Amino acid sequence: MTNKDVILNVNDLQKYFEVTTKQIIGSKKTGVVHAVDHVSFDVFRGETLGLVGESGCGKTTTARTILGLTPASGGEVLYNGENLLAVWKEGSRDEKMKYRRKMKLVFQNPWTSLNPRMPVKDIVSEGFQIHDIIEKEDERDRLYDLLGEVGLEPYHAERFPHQFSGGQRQRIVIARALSVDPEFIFADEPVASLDVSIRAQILNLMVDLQKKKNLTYVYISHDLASVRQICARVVVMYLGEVVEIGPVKTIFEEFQHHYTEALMKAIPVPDPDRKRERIVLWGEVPSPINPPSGCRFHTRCPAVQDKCAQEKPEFTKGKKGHYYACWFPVS
Amino acid sequence: MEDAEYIRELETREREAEKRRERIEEEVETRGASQWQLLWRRFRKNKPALVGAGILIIILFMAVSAPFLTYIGILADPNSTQFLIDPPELGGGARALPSIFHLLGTDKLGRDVLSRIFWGAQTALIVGIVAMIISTLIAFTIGGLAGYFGGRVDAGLMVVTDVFLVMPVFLIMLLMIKILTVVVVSGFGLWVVIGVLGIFGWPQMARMIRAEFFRLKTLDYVEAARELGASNPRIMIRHILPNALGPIIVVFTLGIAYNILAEAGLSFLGFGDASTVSWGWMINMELEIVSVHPLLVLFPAISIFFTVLAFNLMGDGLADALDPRLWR
Amino acid sequence: MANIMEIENLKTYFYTEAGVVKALDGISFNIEEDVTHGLVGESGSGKTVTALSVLGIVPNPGRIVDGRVIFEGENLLEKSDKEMQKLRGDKIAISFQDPSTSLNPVFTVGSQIAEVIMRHQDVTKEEAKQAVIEIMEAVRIPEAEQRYYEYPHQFSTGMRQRMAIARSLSARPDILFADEPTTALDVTIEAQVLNLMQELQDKFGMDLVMITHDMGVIAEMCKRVTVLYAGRVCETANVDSVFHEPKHPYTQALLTSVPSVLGKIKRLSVIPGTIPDLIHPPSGCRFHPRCAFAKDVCKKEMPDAVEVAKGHESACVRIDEINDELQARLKKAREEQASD
Repeated sequence: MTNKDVILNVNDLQKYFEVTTKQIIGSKKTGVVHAVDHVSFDVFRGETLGLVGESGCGKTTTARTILGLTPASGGEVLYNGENLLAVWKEGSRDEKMKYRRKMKLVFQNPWTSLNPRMPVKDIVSEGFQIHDIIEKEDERDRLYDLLGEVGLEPYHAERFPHQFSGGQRQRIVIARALSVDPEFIFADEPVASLDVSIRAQILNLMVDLQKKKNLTYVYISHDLASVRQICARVVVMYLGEVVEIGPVKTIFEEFQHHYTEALMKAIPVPDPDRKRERIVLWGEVPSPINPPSGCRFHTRCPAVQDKCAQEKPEFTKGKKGHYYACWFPVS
Repeated sequence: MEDAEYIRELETREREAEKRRERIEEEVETRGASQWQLLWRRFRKNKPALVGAGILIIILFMAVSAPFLTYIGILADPNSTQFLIDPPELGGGARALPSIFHLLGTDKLGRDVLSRIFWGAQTALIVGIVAMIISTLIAFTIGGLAGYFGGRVDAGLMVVTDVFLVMPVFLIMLLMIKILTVVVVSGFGLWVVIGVLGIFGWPQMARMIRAEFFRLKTLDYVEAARELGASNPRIMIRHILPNALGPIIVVFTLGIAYNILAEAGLSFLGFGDASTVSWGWMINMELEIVSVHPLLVLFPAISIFFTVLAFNLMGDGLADALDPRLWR
Repeated sequence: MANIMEIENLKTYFYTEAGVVKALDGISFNIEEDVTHGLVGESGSGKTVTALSVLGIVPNPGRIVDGRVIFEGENLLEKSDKEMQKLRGDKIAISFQDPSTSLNPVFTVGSQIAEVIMRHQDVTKEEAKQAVIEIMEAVRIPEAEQRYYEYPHQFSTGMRQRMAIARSLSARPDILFADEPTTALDVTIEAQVLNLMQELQDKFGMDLVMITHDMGVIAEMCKRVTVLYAGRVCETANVDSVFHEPKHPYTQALLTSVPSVLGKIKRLSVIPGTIPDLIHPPSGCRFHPRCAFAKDVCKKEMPDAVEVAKGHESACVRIDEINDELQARLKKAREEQASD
């Protein structure tokens, strides 16, 4: 693992939210939401890493904490070896701006993440205007270049978001992210709110852009099919923790953690012949305020044993780059 | 067909289909482009609002044309008492009934009522709008900062707002006018009224702006701007403000109505400036004789009524037209 | 196999400010007894509007302008709202997509369902409560007796969706239209709900119409499927036929442009263009501007679905000519998938 070029190094990241209830005077702290609880993983330069898990697992919060959109509660994040969390916490404005350029987030919802009163040209140009990257006279050209790269025409520049379809809006969101020449992109459910026949267009676009510009992606999604399609490695999260990491084929076919197994076996497969024996995980996801002891998944795990509730499992190393945290893995 | 070929064909098809659709769109809704045009369409459908707008145009015309018309002699000088000594055949004298010489008659001091109504429109609009502008500027600062930064800034500013809300503005105005009698007498009384209305009229607008800023700052596109590296001022002005304009315009319009009414009320109570031409003041002067000579009270009263009504109808119409829930 | 419902030439238009939206422009298909029927399509296809039309609850400014819906020998579209009210819930039910809004937050969960039962059956409150608890246990809500008295916000999303389904089942309808029951749900919760629906179908002998855009759900749950596009039927056939030998370019395009968990497709094929504007739909076959096989004939008349193989209807006028190539493309894409 040390041979490959690591661009992002996440070590023991923590993000806790305090839950307070209002009282007659002031408010009382009633609990802590362990949104991201000691999460570690690496991202190699140029790859597409999938970050999967269901609602409440902490994948979006992880991204937002790494990007400095919300302050971390602990841990360390190294970007090209530099301490990123320190920059967000106490760095100068210039330092922060530098990283804002390098790392970007493609937002999930193309309907709400575009300002309805701003024409496309302003939306897409804002990036390089704020960072003062381009000479005034070159701005128009750069704008048209960006629009072309995401498959839009120059005449779209004068229009407003509400005049576009979902797929086109997502392209605008991507163009905006690209406007500052980033190296690293967190894509948060970029195709979730799009129609099925449009998803392919956007996924293909993202893959093409990656090749063209040598980008590194972290692809956050709960749509496992698209993860299979574009990711090389996958991180599986449950209730704020990482439960398994590995190459995509391993995760999808040779999983070791029972949660991963449940995920893979729950997906309805578009092939009527392959009626998989479904493992249905009954029970609800536990509350993140009071997560279960030991292995957090033990309350719903079909293979649970006493040890699981008592001790938190450590990571076992499998084949090439495969890690899982389970006392009694699948095989 | 080969795969690569197929893909290329599909891509050309896509381009063509796209262009075809754009062209159709262009024909179908060329004017639907900007938000403002959509707004206008919707506003047009609201009959009461159009009536209000119509009335306002008339009032505006009166206000704007008054000086010119007086200058060229179509309208009499509103302050001139010369008609007092005119004989009745020429429609002169005090409190003369409407005649061809004075379409609405003359008032207690023999001044031409029609002219005074026209000039009164100007006063009303100036008071209403200027006072509202002052209020809005204050409201923006306070409401905007409170809503955007929240926390202690908000808490502090809200205390200030609440204090102002609670104050008996009307009484304070009366007090200030009494105190500043010197200014009043010298003919600047109107500006005292405008000043006071402006300085005390901001809390409602501030609360609304604060609410809008609160709501908007959590929206995705504001976060996206922050994520791009936008500074706070930039976010407030380019992202939040344009989207808060809707409700602001509505409160602004309704505020003008309120101000006009307030000024009329002040003048009516005798706290206005006698030297200015104000509808309220006109009522004040002629009230003593209303049982005998109702017309002289009626004309200014109707003017106030229609002006305030017009602003209210416009305000409601704008509120409906701007309602984002009706967007889709 | 007898048909429980027959939909003929159903047309539902929405009269909006911008123009007339032809949401359904002549839909026809049959639902057989004991055969779970899938209705698949993307946004704008008209799948939800179909269910709403059948139940007679199309919202303003929509109106059903033509067609027949034959159920138990009668045309539902000719019935008055009062008559339909009796049928709704009792014979024909619908469950909606968003579990958070389909339950009234102001009433307890139990009372909402009990109310449905009491309206359709002559039972006492106590008996209704018992029936509700039974259903809650059937949809696997733990501690049903206590939870009966809880409010929707105290339930998780998965539970809420199960309760919403429970409510639509409480009056034991003959046929349930489930509109995107799992779209808003996480994968493991989706599995729970689908599993449940199958159990309940067996238990209560109810016919199910699954409305969804997810081909996986169709494959898992349905025996027959109708593919809709822009308010028209593309094809209707058994699930096996649709997946292995589709007879419409849209179906084929859909099958090859969607990523699959089974393997990575070398390059996802893309259906160029976007879903058409239903106020000014394309002439002739509505899919033709995006179709790889389109020719002039496709632009002329709007084709109806006709039987092209046993139990298999298709609305593609060129299907006989292009069938071989269609199947070839499908096969190729599938092979690429397997060799990941």
